[in-house]
Amino acid sequence: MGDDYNILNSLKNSKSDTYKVPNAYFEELADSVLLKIHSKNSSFTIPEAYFDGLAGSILAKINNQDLRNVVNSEIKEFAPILASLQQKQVYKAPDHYFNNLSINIPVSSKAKVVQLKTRYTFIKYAAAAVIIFVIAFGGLLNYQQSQQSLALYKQVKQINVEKSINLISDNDLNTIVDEEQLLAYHSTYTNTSLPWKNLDNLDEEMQYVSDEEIDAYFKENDISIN
Amino acid sequence: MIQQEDKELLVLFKETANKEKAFTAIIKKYQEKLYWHIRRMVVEHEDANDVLQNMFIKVWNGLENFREDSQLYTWLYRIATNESLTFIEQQKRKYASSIDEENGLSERVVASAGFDVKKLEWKLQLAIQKLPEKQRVVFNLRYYDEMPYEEMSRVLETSEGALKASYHHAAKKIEDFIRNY
Repeated sequence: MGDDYNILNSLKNSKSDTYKVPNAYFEELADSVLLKIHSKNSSFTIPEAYFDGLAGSILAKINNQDLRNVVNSEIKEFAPILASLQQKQVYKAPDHYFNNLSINIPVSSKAKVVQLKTRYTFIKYAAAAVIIFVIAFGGLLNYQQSQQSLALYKQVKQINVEKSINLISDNDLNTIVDEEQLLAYHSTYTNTSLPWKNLDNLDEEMQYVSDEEIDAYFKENDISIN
Repeated sequence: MIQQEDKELLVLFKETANKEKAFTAIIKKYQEKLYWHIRRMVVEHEDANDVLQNMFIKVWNGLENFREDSQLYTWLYRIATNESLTFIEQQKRKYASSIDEENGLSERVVASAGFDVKKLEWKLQLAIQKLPEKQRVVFNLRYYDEMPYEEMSRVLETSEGALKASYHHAAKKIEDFIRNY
């Protein structure tokens, strides 16, 4: 009994010495674990701010998918053949075109704001010509009916188109065209037509009027355009 | 590579030191979408490349004064559309005496690599070229680019109702063309 006690006592005293850990092992443990975690991930790189934009890009893809479904179901209703084609692309761009695309920017380029609706000078002159025509025609009718219109007719004859245009601002001129006041005779167009359609048709119709005819008309009415 | 936000790119563009870097990032971000939008309008790659180059030069010139109350994406599409229509207009004038441009574009489709009149997708391309040009823009933006009408309305400055009607008419015409061709 006395021997047993001595053995247990001596074992108890020697317990802490059986296994040894390196010096400062526990002080350095946290750092070494973190180091391993970092070194494990360091073989992969992620773009800068990747996680900042991740949620946004996933949501954008979900929204695109939703929109695609809307577009597809919409066209299925009235054009099933088109729906079956699924926007198949037939044209091809040369290999590496997008990788090699470079834009040669002119050195002395001046800033210019681009507008959607390209207002051709031609339209301005066409609009002015129609205005002049309406005024002149009205004037002529009145002249035949009454001597009182003589003064007005003379006034119309003296109108200089260039000066008239200068007096009208671009905005006003555009508004006139937009409001289709000049195109009122195109009564066949429905409200669902694009406004462009009217302008397209005006262009088409004006194609059949030669420059000579326009010049002759201006000469006949003593109208000068510079 | 994560694409930078437009607002961030616009801020960078206004800093002289970062101007070209920001512009390059804008090109990289939008070049493919804009190229295909233009290509479907003008058909041939060389023409599409010319139009794309010109439009980006205009973007460079105008970006300084770009009003940030509208989206960059919308503005770019607007310029691309304008440039494409202007190009087609110029072609019309150039070839007015010899060919009708509507047929001219169809001829270009027929001359494209891989054209096969029996395939529906090529019939579709022919049908698209038969549309009035602005209706063609509306159709392409909706069918290929899947652009919401609201956004298209900002690009084309046309009401959503008119755009819906235009798209509906265009799709119907194309469907009829494909069935009867």
